[in-house]
Amino acid sequence: MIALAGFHFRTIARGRSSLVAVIGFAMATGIVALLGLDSFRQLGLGAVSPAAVAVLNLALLLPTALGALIGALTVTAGRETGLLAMIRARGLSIAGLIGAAWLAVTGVAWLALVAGFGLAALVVAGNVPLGDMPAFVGLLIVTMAAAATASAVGVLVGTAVRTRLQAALVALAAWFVLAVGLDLVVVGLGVFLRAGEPALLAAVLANPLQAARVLALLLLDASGSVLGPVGAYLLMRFDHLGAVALLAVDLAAWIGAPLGGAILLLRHRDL
Amino acid sequence: MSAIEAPGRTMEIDLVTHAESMTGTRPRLSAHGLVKRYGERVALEASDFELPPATIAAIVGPNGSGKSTLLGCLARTVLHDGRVFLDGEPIERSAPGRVAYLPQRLRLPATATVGEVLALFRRFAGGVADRVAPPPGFVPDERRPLGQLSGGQAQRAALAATLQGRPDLVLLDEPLANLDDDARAATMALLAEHRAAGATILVASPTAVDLLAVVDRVLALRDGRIVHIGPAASFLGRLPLVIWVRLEAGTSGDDLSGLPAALRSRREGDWLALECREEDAVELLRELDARGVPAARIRIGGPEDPTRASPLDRP
Repeated sequence: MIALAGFHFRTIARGRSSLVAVIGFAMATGIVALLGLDSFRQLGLGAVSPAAVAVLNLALLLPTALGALIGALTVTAGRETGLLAMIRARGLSIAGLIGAAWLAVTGVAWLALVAGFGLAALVVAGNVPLGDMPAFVGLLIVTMAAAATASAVGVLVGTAVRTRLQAALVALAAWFVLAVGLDLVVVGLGVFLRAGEPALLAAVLANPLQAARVLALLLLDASGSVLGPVGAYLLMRFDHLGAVALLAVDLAAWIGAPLGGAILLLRHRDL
Repeated sequence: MSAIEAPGRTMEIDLVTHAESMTGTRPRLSAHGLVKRYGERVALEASDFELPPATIAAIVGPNGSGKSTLLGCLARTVLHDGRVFLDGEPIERSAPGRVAYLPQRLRLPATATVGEVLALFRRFAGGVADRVAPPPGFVPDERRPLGQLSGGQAQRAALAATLQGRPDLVLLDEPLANLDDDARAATMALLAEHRAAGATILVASPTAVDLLAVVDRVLALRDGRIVHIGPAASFLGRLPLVIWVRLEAGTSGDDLSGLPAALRSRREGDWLALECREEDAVELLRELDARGVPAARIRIGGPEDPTRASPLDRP
């Protein structure tokens, strides 16, 4: 499985679109970090956290879109071109095929994140108290986890559709729902139904990108005040460590469930 | 009797309704009750068959007859009813690397190099040394990305990757597509070496002509059913008994006129017609192969017009 993952990773990373996405994200992250640093400094806040907050939304959007899209395309292309069939015949299990695709795609998304955060780190390096670095690294880890969940969703999409065009369209639609759509639904229904904090927390857990965003903000601000009622409820109900653990488990489930679904689906489909 | 269409011809052949007996030899491959349905449509409903070790079998039949589906079932990449056994054990329990499969119209990633593809499949070959090394020049430069190769070069790279290690069952779906005469001859020789080392090889092709110089058995499909299975000679015995050889420019074909298996020969433009008895057809093809005549220049068909015979490539 690792050999196939490495093969996928190299071929994906060399693709022109992947290179453009990685470089584009890195440049965008650097610019956002620079702008965030300058504007938040005027408010008298610390250097890393404001810049990191500015980077957070970008890091939760672009690499996850990349992971979902490439995840779907990698599996569909592998089926269309015969590569997966060739390797399956040689004895690699369906779980191995799925796991290899996910590892490779997640690796590419992480490459983009590391490049982006690396550039952001360079931008804020002169203004960073060393004590803020763990939060910055935590932010990177959380966004990497979010990218891993999006890659898993992409791989699931890739097993469910037939063609690369379908894969691209469905993966982008799925990403849009996770990135924006669910939030709009929650905002709309929340007001209409007067949903309380438990319902809002359930909505957070039902969306890996939102869970990652909350987790990242908890890492940046242990008081959870930036999260409003949901943050207060989380900390009151689970305390800080418990809330972090709950969200981490949720993200892990958002990786495991789509991959499990993809394996089950592919076991009942022709390669 | 049932019918199978070869390009330009329709041949009557025996319908096989039971497993072929391989008395005295434990079958390498056994297939029982293979059925593949796409919704209501039955794509494959193959009668039981067995193949012994060290055999090359051609799967022939017109487009849509179920050749690729049958290979996919054997490769475990197509879901199906029925069972497949490799050396008496369910094929799904066979050790990794024992089955090698080259799908039709394979397109490996353009950004991967030849060397990376070979290295990948070496990992999945079960960690054993190659049984047979491809001839020099067969594998393109390992540093070149597949996207920069011609169709024939990419096909050679894919063949080399497929045949790595020591596969006991090799499943090839139209492996000669895109190959020039030399590459076809090299591929045939490669397959013959794998057979000599004990491998059982199934090769799907729209026609048997391009394979008959090396195949031992022919399995003919029509509408998803096996309509003939048996020695290549018995399949050939049902074909018209003129073997046409397209002559190279500037050659007379005199060196081919006196082949022992040929009854008589005649020249028709660029073509040399070799007539033979049914039972001598395989021998004649092997004699042509021994004289270096590539399969691409050979057709088997009607006595009056080589362009209506079973083709490889129409002039």
